Amino acid sequence: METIASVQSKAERGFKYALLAPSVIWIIALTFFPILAAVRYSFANYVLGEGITAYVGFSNYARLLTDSGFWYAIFITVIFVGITVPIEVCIGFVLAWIITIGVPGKKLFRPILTAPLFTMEVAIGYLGVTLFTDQGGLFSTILGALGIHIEWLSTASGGLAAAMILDIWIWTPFVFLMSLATLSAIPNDIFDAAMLEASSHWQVFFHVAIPLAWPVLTVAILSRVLEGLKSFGLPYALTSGGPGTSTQLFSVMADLTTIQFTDFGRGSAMGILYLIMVSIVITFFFKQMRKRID
Amino acid sequence: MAIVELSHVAKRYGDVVAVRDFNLTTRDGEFVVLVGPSGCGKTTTMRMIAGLETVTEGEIRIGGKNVVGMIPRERDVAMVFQNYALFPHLNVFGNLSFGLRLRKFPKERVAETVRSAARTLEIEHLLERKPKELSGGERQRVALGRAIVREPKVFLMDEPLSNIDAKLRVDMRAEIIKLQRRLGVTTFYVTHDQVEALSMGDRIVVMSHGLVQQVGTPKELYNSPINRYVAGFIGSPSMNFLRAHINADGTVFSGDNVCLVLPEKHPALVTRNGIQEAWVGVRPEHLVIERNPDRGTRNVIRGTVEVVEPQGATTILQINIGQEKKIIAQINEQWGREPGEKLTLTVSSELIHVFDSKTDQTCI
Amino acid sequence: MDNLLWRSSKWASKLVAMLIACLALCWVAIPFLWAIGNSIKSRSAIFERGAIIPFLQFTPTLDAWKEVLNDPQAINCLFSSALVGVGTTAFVLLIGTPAAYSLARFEFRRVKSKDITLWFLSQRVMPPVVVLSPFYILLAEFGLIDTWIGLILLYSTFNLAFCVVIMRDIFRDVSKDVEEAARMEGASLWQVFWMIALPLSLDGLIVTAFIVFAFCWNEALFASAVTSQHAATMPAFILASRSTRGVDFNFAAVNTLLAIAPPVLMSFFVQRYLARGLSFGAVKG
Repeated sequence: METIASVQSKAERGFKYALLAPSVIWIIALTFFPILAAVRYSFANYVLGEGITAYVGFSNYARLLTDSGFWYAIFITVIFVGITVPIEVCIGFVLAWIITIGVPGKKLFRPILTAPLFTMEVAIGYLGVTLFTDQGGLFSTILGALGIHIEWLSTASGGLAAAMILDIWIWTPFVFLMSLATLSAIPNDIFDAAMLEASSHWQVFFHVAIPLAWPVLTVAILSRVLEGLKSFGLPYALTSGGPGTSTQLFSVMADLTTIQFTDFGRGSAMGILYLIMVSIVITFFFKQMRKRID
Repeated sequence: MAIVELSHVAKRYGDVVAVRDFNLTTRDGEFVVLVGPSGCGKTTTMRMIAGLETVTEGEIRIGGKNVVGMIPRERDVAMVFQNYALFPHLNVFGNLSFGLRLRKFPKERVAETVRSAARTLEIEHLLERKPKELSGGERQRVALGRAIVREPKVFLMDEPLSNIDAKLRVDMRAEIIKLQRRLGVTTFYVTHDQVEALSMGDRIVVMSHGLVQQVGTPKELYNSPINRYVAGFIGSPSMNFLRAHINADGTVFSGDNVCLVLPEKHPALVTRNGIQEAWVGVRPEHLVIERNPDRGTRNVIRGTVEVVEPQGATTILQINIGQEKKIIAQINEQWGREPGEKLTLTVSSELIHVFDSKTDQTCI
Repeated sequence: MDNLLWRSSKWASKLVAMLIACLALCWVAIPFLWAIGNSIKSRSAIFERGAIIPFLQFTPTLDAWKEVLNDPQAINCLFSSALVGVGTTAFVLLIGTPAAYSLARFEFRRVKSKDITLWFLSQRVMPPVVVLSPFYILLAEFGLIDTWIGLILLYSTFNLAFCVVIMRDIFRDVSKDVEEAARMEGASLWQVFWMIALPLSLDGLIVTAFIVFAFCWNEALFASAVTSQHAATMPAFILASRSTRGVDFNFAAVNTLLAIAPPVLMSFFVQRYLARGLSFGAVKG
């Protein structure tokens, strides 16, 4: 155990608790109790300024579960994550591999290729409007010159596709960064030795690089899925959820329900239901992290 | 400068016993070496004195004051770590002055004390450097300097020489002894190397499995080991042990080729204790080649040379004495022995050790 | 760089690899260049075909920049973003770092330090929409809607867990012997933390600070939910402008650049430990 200084005078015995307590108290006060509160609100009608006006049992839940809009939001969120994450993982890992094995200029590539990761999603979404609009948008202009006409922002599938493209632009660097760190940490000797045995680069890639990076890749994939399921700023800024409500990802819908329509009971119920669904992914994530943290 | 007393000190981690019933009282300014194989409890004992481990049982007194339950700061001891544990973010001056500054010494006095310690260790020119810019030997000196600068009551050194190369190690050994003699500070020194223990310690504590086997001067440990463990641990190459039958007249037989004779006074002891089966121990360096082949059959060991390992000044021979048994002899010859050669060895009676076959304790 | 794998490659595959890397660079650069280009175009130049290279194909102008920078609300939002970001970062490091150290170095009687760490981590991965209602109500009850304090309170909650988990990982890299050496020199536990562990973890601390700051700077859901005017940060400002101004190329370009510049520029200086921080310590390096 990495415990230092087990001999502590009475005065020092409380040290570790004193350091830890503020954070634990803060989290309990501002996460644990709010979640309990959310559970309570989800069984109630809450009116801003008046508080809980009535307890309505499961009716918030019942209304949600029979609401096709709710299921649609979940459906497109899952589609969104299901398409973007695999693409991000593939591109990110291959790029990291190419840079690791020797494309010159690693020092230059790394900071530039990771830059999108720190951009503001909302800003990129707003910029995306000017990229995808059919009145002089960059993509539409280029594709138009090639004779392809896509209605990016006026259809549900176009809007979602545009959001996915930008999501991939922002988040591929995340996988790239993780993969690059992992691959760089593998001693060169291992690749050299593998190269002497293997008949092609593909064999080294599939039988050495991927297995060695796999534990970290799983963490990266699960983090991406969890973050993807929270997606809000980018799709909202890009399409405002439209046309209609056809591109409202779950968080966008929950935000509108709770804040715009101030339906806190229904909003809470949405949150709780979502937490229950997402907890499957969270469980996988924790299994992985438990192995990685010592 | 202080006397350190450990009485009935024990350390347990759950069910695992790391140290049991450790008793020792040092003299003021004594150099005590704790020696034993890894996991024997020597480092744990030192860390208990340091205040880095809690004491499960017993008392540790430094200068007459029980320090159990005190934090290191209150004990006024200094420690040199195996990997030096210099503060990487501070330069050498910062490392040396760390303890003094924590004790709020005035600035001029800190500078003065650090300079004089640095002068002693000949590291004055390094004061501005960071640890990573120093060689292994220089780091070693800085670590020592950090320990002496505060003039603590006790020095603790945890295998301080194990990370530097062999030649430098011999020089540093001498230097540490010189330094310790001059400062006269009671010192505990942990090592797994019995050669280091013999050459440095005023007194040596041999430990094994958390238990103190023997406490004594180097001479005592070498000449009169208390049991088979200590006899085997001290000395290199290790003592030869032979399972033997002892007659009432003091002759010792082990197989057909070994016949040793115990000193005159011993047979009485043997018969009084009723010992017949025992372990007989002979150090390799005490075996001598008998040049007169007609010497007879008493006090001789006969065998065939199997392996020859020239050491330069001496030669180590592995000798087969029949019945699958081997002994090691270290003889004062430089070269010239060959495998396959038949040899007769002898040993003077006073140098033979006898251990009880059941308890492994020395009986003579 | 100089490994067998690369040396033994055929020149054609080397070319393909370099081509892919360059394509990636272009792909990453395009939105940035598009935004920069649009931000210095006049309204009429925006829709001209072939107006790509400044000075040659169109005359650059700073009109759009002037317009945005003269808008008091834009400046106010930039200021709010900076203030909330810095405030949150400072607060989170202040209370999170000691907790991280405590978990890195000590064991606790009933719960293992690892389990406490995972508990912190669980706070981080929870979808924020779950607590949207209670937080909104909480802030409303305390009159903290549209205040800096309210935002700092929220962001601290989300980032505290992150800081604890990642700093614990960093602290565990500090040599135990070095800390014990300080202990032997007479340092109290607090002094070991303050004078040894913290300075030796400075790189990790800076990266943690950066990631926390970037999160606060970029956060949109709560920013748009609990602010309106006074404490609105850049994401809230952009979301609001989007609905009031619609598709305005100049305006979008300038605001995008203003909004993304600080974290992106900072990221160039904190490359070390970034992967480790973003993976909660799952990646070492």
